[in-house]
Amino acid sequence: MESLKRFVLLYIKPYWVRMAMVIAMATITSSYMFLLGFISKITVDEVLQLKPSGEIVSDAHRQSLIQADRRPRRDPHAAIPGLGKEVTRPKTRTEKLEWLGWIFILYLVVRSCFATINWFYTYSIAYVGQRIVFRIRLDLHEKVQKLQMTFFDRQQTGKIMARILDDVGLLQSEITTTFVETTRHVARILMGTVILLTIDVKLALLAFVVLPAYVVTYKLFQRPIANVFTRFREDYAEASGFLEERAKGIRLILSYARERREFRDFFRRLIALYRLGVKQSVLSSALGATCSVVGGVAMGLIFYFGALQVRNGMMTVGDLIYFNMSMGNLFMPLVALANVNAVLQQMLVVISRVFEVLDEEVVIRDKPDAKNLDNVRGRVAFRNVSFRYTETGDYAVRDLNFVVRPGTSVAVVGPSGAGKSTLVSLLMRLYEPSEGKIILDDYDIQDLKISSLRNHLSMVPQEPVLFSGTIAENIRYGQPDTTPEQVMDAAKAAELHDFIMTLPEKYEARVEERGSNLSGGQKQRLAFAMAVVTDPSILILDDTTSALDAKTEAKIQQTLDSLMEGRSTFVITHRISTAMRADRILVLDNGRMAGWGVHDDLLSESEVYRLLYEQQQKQKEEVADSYIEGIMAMAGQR
Amino acid sequence: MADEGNMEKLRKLAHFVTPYKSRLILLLCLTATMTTLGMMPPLVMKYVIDDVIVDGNWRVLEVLLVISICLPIASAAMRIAISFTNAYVGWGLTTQMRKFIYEHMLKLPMRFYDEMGTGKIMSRVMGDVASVRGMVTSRMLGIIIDFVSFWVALAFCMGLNWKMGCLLLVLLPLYFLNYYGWRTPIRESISLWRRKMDRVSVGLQERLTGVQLVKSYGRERRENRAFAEDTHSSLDAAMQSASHRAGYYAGTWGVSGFRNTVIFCLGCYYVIEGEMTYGAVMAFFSYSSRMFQPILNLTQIAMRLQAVMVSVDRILEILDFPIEIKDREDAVELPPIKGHVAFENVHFEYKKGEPVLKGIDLEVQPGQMVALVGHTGCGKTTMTSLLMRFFDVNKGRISIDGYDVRDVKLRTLRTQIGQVLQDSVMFNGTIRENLLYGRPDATDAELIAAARIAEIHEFIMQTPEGYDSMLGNDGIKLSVGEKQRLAIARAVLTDPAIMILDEATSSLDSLSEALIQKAMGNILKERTSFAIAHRLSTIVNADIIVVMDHGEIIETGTHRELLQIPNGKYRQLYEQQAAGSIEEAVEAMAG
Repeated sequence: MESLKRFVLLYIKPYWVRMAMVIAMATITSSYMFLLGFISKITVDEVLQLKPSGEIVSDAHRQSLIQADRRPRRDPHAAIPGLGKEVTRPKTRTEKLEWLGWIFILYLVVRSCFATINWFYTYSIAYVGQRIVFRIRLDLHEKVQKLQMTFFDRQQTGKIMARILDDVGLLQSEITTTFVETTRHVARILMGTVILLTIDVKLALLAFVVLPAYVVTYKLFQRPIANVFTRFREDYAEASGFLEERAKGIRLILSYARERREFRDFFRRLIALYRLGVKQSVLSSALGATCSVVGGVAMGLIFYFGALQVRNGMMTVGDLIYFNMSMGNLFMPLVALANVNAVLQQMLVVISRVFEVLDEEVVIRDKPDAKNLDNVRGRVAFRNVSFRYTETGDYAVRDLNFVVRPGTSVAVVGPSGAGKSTLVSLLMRLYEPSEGKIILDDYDIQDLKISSLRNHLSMVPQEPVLFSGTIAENIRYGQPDTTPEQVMDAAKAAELHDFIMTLPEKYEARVEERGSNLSGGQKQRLAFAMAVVTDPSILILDDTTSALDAKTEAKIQQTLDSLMEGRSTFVITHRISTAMRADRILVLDNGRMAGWGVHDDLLSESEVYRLLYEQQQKQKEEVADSYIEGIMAMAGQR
Repeated sequence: MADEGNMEKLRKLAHFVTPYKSRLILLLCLTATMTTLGMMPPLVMKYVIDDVIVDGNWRVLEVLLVISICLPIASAAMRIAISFTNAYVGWGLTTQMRKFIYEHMLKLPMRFYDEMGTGKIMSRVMGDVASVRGMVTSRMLGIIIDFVSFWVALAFCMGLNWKMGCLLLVLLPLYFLNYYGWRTPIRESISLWRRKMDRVSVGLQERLTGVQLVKSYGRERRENRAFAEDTHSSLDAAMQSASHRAGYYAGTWGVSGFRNTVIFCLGCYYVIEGEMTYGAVMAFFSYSSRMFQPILNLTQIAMRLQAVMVSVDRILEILDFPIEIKDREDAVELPPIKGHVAFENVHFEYKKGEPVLKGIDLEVQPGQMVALVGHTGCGKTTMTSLLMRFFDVNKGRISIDGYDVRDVKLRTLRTQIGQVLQDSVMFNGTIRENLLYGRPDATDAELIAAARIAEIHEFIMQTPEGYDSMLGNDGIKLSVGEKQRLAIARAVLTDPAIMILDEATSSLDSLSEALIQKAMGNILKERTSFAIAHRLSTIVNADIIVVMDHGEIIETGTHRELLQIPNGKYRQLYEQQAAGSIEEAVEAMAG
């Protein structure tokens, strides 16, 4: 409820004028059916002057009864001049027709007024709903953009998507209608109750006994239906999941010739779905049927006792018709109100999910007095840096202590899971160290503006990410004001220009979603061009060359070398041979530093490094052997 | 013409419906009866007012009470019966269709999966089938109800007062006018809105998946602005469609209001003139709205029908996909493979005019290891797929121990060939279930032995529940190397006579690479094997190295032989790859 209040204040309040108008309109429209009923009543009683004919009650007695009975309720009619007196006197044909003419106009006016109000109402409800949703989506998006990587590690992309798009979309259809329609239903029920009571108290009491039965039936069925529905959805999701997995793994199925068994498994799931599906529809039709029985019986009884009342002269024919129409108008709002709690609960879940994201703490943000760095020399120091992804988890990196001098390169090596990528993420301040500090030039990176820090850093990731758009747009991503010439230079530096020129649309060629129309090597080179464009002071290469073939790698290596000149560079790699090119090597093992220095020293100092080296060396020796063998064979041939 | 095409398509799906014919007829009768029963209450009301109250025929009142209580009970009972029959038919149909489609899918060639993609397959089997069910059951039911209501209501109206009945028919076109006037704007604005929302959703998905990129280039604010723009334009589209829809409804209300006013007042006029009773006016009133409701529904059904035809098309896309690979009628069992494999002048193309293999000739003796070498896209993987008969050759033949692969039963062929792919698939389930996939009856001892050969036993024992640990979404996450070793164990368990290996290109750390090398070494002994090789050590140890380029074999031989070819392709490739490391290695040896 707290979150509901907050939600109303935050998102509905700005639209309160519209909202108030909508609610006012809702209240007006709720009287629609009653008004029509009332017009029918006047027509029947005053214009057509239908009267019951009974064998039991004498005419005179009945007249007096009717008059005695009607007097107190004549008040509303008094507004229409001259109506009161003429009730008892039978009208002539001309009079009746004249009256009918007025009724026609009244009827038409009421109908067209309501059509207009309804139109405005429908539009306004959509207007407010859409705008509220728009605001929520913007807020969510802005928040998500601010949040740190730990949030994204915890939440799957699909879930975040669902929150921003689907959940909020659900709100859109529910939020305004729930608020407004509830008012409308309450108004209708209040009006209806008063009207029923004024027409005939006894009959109204009877109605109040029967009507709740309608609601009770509804409630009775609600739980089993919800249960079946939930189970159905679960089973459906499971069957979908099964199918998806099989479609992805079709090669496996085919190569083990498991088609028949797979087919049986799927069929079993289908049968389960089938049973639940039948159960679901039978249950909900049973609900509908029971409700219509209750409603039908209620109407039948009302008609029966109503007719008796008319016969006894307690009611006019018009009253009976009016009563009947008014009561029929109460079923729908009753059910809706009975449901309002369920809808509200559902809405609360969505709302609290929205707030869950909005309330997520932004851990990584600019300090109030954060500095802007214009120039970076490129000195990087890690001081006792430790980090763990969760508060209770194992340390991903522990007690890192090293200094990188400006313009030099550092290779980070170690088995997978040693913390190489974590180190880089910490440097980019995608995560905040649990302990220790990272110093860039003379500043703790936590004291710098995030945008300023990241502007000076560029990373070429192992698995490059591309966005759909043109090639040029992707290259420009980090520096949107780059000129076409600069884009082309960057592409040339990344050995991508020649490939781009083979495309029909050159730099304006589309990159599909996630770069699916490019090969791994092309994506890698594109990511490389992106980094070149930003002209960073510190460059991070995360296993950048592994997806390239030897020829391109050799070409790119030159560019890499020239790019690395004058910039501090972190090179994450598996290959010792690559690491040896760097000025310093940092060896990581299980998050701890297991060596820091140059190749020759590390061989004697670092156990981990030596093992890694020997392993790779062994493979190389095999190669070398075979090569020498090949050379000898060649020599022999000559 | 389009209708004929649609009929043709529907006929193809008709055989799913045939078994339910009698039940469908029952459904039809029940529905018609229920609809007619539903038409009774206004008539009861008419009698109460006209005969009982006004004419004073009070004795009928009790009878009418009984009728008015029995009517809803009867129609409720029918409603439940209808819903049961309907669900029975609808779900039976869905199940049969999904079953049939899945069965068909499993027979389809790999080409189908490559072309269609998982997402599309999913939406066809689940979503589109459900939409066809909706059409056959609830929509069809709706149409029957509408049809019956329309005619019954019209008949009642005419019976009550034919002049007013004729008036109704005159008013009918107003609804159509309103509908056709708004149809195009509504449809266009909705599809505009959908397009805009798609754009928002695709953009968002990309940004969330690539959040690291966004952050590392500090682009958050710009992304916010882009999102706001996209969302705002979707908002505009949504409001446009909302206003069109409100217009359509207002039109409908307007027409209905006019109709009701005219009927009511005209009816009252007839009452004054003595041509009609008031009860009849009220009944006429009820019937006229029941007569027009179907018209409102019908206009929507046309739209829905189009959507369903799209679903039918998409389902047929699967069902009409030809089964290219199947056992020949005279297919024989392939006896246990010794391991002789021959490719004879094999030609193959995925798409017409784009040959992937152009005349491959290769003979492999039992127990030999073949390394396939070449750039991505030169046809290495295609060769192994052809051997497993995932595709059929366009020309030439492939034989195993002298049997053409097309002449033997698929099952006996594929179960004797093991395959380890670079991106190995594991299904949701326990490690044991996954390992037993190819041979569900293997004993625990065999299972462990296979895991040992694949160098994965130790890893499995470290997981919380050992062989019963869950893999997949809720279970343990595997690295590429672990997955590949599990896949090797899975293959070993079936003891295949021929092994196909696709080495992982992605960089593994040295430890898991060493383990995989060892595991592969273990299983390649004494088996004919084909390796799509990326590592020099694998290549160098092969019995035959096949160097491929653009779908042709350009060199074959052992490592030694190939290096002797001056300016040979292999030598070039090799020197490029080895260039860096050789120098170091030579240096290291010298040192």
